[in-house]
Amino acid sequence: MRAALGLLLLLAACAGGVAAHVRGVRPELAAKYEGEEFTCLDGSLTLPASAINDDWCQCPDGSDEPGTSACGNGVFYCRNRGHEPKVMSTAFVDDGVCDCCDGTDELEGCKNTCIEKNAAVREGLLQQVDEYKQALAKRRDYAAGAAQERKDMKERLGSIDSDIEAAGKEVVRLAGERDALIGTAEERRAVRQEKLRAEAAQRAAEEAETKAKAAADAEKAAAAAAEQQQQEQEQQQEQQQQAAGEGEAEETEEERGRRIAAQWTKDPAAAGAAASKPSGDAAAPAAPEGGEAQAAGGEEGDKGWLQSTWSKLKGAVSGEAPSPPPPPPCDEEWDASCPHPEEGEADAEEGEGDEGYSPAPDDDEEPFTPAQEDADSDPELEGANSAYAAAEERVTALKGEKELLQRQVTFDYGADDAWLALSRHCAEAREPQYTYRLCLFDRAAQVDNGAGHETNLGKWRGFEKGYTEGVFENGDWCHQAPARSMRVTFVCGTDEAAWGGGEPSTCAYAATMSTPAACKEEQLKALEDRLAALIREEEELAGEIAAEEAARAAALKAQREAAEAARDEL
Amino acid sequence: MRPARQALAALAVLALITGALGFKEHEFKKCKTASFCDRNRGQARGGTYRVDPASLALSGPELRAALLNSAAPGVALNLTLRAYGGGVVRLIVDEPGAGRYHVPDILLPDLESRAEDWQAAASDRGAWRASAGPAAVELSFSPFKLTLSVGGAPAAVVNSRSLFGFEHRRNKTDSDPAGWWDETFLSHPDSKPRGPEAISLDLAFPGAARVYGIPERATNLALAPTAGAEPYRLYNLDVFEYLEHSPFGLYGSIPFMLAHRAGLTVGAFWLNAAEMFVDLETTRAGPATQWVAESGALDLFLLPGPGPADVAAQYAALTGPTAMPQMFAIGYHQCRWNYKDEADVAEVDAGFDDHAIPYDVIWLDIEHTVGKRYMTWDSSLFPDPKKMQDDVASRGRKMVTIVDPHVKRDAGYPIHKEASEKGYYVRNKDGREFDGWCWPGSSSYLDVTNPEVRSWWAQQFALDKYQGSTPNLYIWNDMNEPSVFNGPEVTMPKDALHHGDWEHRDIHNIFGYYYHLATSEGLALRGRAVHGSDGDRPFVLSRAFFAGTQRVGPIWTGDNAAQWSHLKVSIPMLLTLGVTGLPYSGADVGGFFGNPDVELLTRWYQVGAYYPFFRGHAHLETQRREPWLFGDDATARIRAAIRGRYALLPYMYTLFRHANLTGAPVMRPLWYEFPSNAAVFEEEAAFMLGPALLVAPVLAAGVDHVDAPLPRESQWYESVSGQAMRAAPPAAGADQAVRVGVHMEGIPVFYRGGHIVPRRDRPRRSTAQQARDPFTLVVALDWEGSAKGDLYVDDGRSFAFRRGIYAHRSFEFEGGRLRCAAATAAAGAPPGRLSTDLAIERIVVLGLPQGREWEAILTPAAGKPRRLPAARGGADAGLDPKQGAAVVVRAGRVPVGADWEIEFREAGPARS
Repeated sequence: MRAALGLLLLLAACAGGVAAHVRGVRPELAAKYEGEEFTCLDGSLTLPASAINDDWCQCPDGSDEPGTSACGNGVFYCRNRGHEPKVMSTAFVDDGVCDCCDGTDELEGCKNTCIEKNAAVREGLLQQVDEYKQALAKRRDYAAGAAQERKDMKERLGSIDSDIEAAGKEVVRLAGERDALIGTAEERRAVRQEKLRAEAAQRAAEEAETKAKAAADAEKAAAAAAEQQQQEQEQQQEQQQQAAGEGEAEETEEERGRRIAAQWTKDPAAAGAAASKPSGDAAAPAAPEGGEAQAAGGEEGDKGWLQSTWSKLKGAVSGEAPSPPPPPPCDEEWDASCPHPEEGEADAEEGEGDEGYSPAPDDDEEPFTPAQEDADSDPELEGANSAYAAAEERVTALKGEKELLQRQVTFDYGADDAWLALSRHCAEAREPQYTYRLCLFDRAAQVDNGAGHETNLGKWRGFEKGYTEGVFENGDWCHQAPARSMRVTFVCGTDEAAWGGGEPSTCAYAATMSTPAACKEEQLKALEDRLAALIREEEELAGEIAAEEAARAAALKAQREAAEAARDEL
Repeated sequence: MRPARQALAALAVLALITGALGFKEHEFKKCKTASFCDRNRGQARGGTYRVDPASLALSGPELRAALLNSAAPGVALNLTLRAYGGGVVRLIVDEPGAGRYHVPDILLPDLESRAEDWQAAASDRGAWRASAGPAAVELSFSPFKLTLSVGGAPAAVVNSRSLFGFEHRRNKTDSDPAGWWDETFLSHPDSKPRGPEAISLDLAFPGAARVYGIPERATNLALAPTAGAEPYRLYNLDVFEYLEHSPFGLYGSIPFMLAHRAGLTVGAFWLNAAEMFVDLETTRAGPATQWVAESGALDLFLLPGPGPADVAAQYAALTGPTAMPQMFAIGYHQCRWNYKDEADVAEVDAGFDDHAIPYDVIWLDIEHTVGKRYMTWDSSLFPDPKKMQDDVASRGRKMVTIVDPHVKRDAGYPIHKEASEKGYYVRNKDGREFDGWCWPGSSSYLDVTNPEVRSWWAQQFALDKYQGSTPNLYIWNDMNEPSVFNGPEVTMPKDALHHGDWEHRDIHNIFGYYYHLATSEGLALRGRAVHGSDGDRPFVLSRAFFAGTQRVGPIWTGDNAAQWSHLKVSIPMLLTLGVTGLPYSGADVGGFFGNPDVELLTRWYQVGAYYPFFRGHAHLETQRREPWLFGDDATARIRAAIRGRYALLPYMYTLFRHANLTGAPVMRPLWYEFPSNAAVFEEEAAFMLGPALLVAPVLAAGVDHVDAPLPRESQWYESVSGQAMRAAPPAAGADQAVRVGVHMEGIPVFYRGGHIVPRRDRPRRSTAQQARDPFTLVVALDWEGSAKGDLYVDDGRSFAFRRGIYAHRSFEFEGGRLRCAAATAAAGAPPGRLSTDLAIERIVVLGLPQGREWEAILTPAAGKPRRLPAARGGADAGLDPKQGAAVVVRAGRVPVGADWEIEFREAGPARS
């Protein structure tokens, strides 16, 4: 061990051409380790120089043992010629793990990998420079298109008032139609009453038959899929009635399972497959409203999400909510190649598992109620009502759009307006439990991947720190903390993408987003400079290694000659 | 029960404020709503039982007799009384021909070979008497009563209060009371085809001062009487947000109780896996208990002690001692629900190195799988699990994945497909596969009571079966109570059927043990396949447990909360597990539910560093809490706590070896070490780590001092400075508490005079890098200037120690001389023959007269004596020597494997 250490010291001395290098000492502190005596860096003790790196810790700050593991709190420095220097705890010295690419943290067993490591970093840098150039080109396109964007925005603002006016007229017209129907309601009710009486009698007969059959042969009855579904629907209605009435609803086995699972996590989908069904499955029960948030497919949903979000925000009940994108097809449903296997998966087993299950509606949404089939229901009037409501909603949506546009024209989009290209873009950071939606210059939200429940994380406030961060503020109310907010860190990238969504402190969310808009010419310069420095380092190292080899050869030669001379003397 | 009510009230208030969910008492049974408990609790019907003297038959270690009940003529029970070495007495009462369940696979297979003949057996008209070792028994005939006496005084008595009862099998009649043949709890029907079959055990401990044991529950160490409250319950359940003071049973059950007074500790173990309720009453004669089990047989072991360590050894001789863990397994474990992907794992792993905090294992919870199909990897998150494990392992560390007993019912999932085809699932009462709801949704449960299923399950852990696994991957079994989300009390219906058509009712409390066992056997198989015959010691963490789990692996106390009260209750919970034979246990550091503030988290690490099993864990919805996320001060404090743990690992590993040999606990209640000191019988804040360290933790916010209960029998030294806590032995009756100021940098810990503690003071990144490091010996002298200790060393990984590939060294300080020699091999263990080249670099002596200079002269077994530099310093290597009160010897490299002696001499007055 001593011999190995000696060799290292010798090499360092020859190569560096400075006074004997003390293992592990940072260059800026080297002078303190040169005298006859050494004073601990914290000044607590003065020791003979022989106490340095003697594998016995004496300084409370660990400074007498920069090159051994004797002190727990020491600091080890390796120069890593050809790469970048490293400073680390002396706990990692001579522990059998190569931490420094120059291998100096271990007396034995580590190869010098600095050049390889440098090569990898160099490759990475090269690629980065390339991407940066592409991204900057894209950014120039953004800036070039900005004028048009501004123009479109203004035009829309100019035309939107007339749209609002037209939509308002439609509301008045539909209100008239509805009022006319209210006038004739009594007559139409009598006709329906008679029809329903007949239907109810027939259904009662069917039910009695079904139940008798079920009692006689439960398994057979269960196999009859259509009847089963009917029973389930009945059960569902029954439960809702009970829930509304006594509060103690009879649970199905699955519901009980989900309820208990939901104790551990707010996410009802935490246990078992998510509730949503492939939309092509005709036998599946109707998706609950708000189901569109269930499994957002990705980019193509951006605009649709915005609209549906707005309508939900305004509390409008829309019959035209966009349907959920169908889940990707999966042959082997548990196969890991299927994306998001937790969602939209059908249980492979017949008669088992998730078939026919409809999730409990979200707490804060209206419970799903199947159409009440009684004589009081008036389909014509309801149709008129919903047409009227839809028209009102359109007015609300247009007003919302106007308000957003009015705000957006006031925002800062950078000196060259390059960020304007993102004014209608939403990026998503998908995490295991939540997806974070970042609609720049509009709003941010957190969407529960299971239940689809959405939390408002705030409206766009503006950029900070020279366009490297963006802040959304005044989101949903938060218990024991300010209202929810989202801080996005922008990094340069060739495309828009988001990741790293989370809640680092209560109700203050964060995510990272890449976009060409965040690229800066001076950063490209910095990258290029660093690349040049690395290449220079490597070339210098090659020279040093050659010098080292020569020095070692010379030392060996001198040794041999001395030995020969000694032999000659004998 | 006042604290419980307060806690409930506090929780209710909390629930009102936050709308948070909490423990739902009404969702769990109480004695009143469990028919078998309700109809037996407090029922004095035991007076009608009598032993038929004519039936007595003695054969060596076994006495047989008929037990008759005048209230049930025509029913004769079989009574068996057996004696074992050390005076352990076993009472079996069974019903011939009834086919009652006797719990297999828990008692050591060689137990019967250790049966010893009854001595001096004699009987008269009233009783049969005999002795076994230190114990004497008297079997009174009418009414039936069994008395175990130790040292001439009764210590444990069966049926002294006539609460014994044995519900014999019968035919159903129309006049049977409700609850005999079926009962329903919260719409969960329980068909009871065998009718009533409960057993009530009346067990009193005359003269005892306290009783301990019967885990698992979050409550006091010394069990409180249950009169007017709920009895203690033993039924393994997945309890959501358990309360910190409740008689309610949690995830595991050990029907083992200890009764203690100054001068005598005895134990009672009822081997029965059915649901059980235990009442405790404090009578003038001492604690008296009633145990009611729903089914099975009475199989009771009485352990005569007389000391706490004797009871521990007697219990270990029945159910086995603790499995020897690998060294990594007692390092620090970093867990979270969930480390989400490979990049997350790499970042957390690097985070520990970046902050120079040691850790050994990083864990993956359920989200790493494909839809909670265990032993699969979500390839979008973990595309290359082998590479990830290899990378972690390149720095000597390990990984753990979760594997739970519920199997997703999905025909495309090979484990389900094969288990279903082979008929390996638990069946419902109609004989079809039981289908319950758990994390994956619709799930079935492997019937691990079947040895064939266990063997099949063990094979699933082979490297070529468990895709993406490597030899550095170990396992975590959660939810094995079993947890069934839509089942009664979140578990399996009691009428579900197991191997041999046993009802779940009979086997419930060992289900988790069997699953844990099968998994552990899987890793043992894998270890032999990878490493050859010396194998690789399995590491499988379990949540559910039973007597015998200690032979399999560690457990943790389940889903606790980030509250001071849960930090506090973790100590009595772990101490209880320690004295009931399951010392390898821990509580989630930081608290599973909720977000600890930085003070609580720091204190929890400072306490957790002394848990036998040391793991940080957090719920999915909590904020990240890796040790470096709370600012530089907190990072430094947590680093110091974890490094402190690693420094103590040589001592802890040696303690585990003792647990492995003798069943001794690792973390010990004060009464265990000071059994005659009545002032510490209820101490449950301060605790001992082995015999030599006393930890006086900080268990509340904003604390500036702690009253450390330092038993007067010993001298104590503060563990950082080495300062002696007392100038002279305190008088009997003097207050033992010593007030010490505290700061956030650490909690008070004391070395006990008379003991020597081996340490490794060089901080490293994990246990693998410590393996070659030299040791420090801390020698804490008693009032007479003496101390003893030992150090156990082996490869830290394999079973080679079973063939003697270990070194066990003893250290003894007496008359100013420290001697190192081979420790006496434990009975039954082969002598150690590992020649280790490990060395001692530092010797710290506490308690040498101060104000003097000391010199140390080393005399090797062969060779010349030489002087070792000695100077004043702290007990902790990091302390400024000027603040220390110890003599610190620079030992260079004194070999630990060689015999030697170091003499300490005064070398004159201290130089300033």
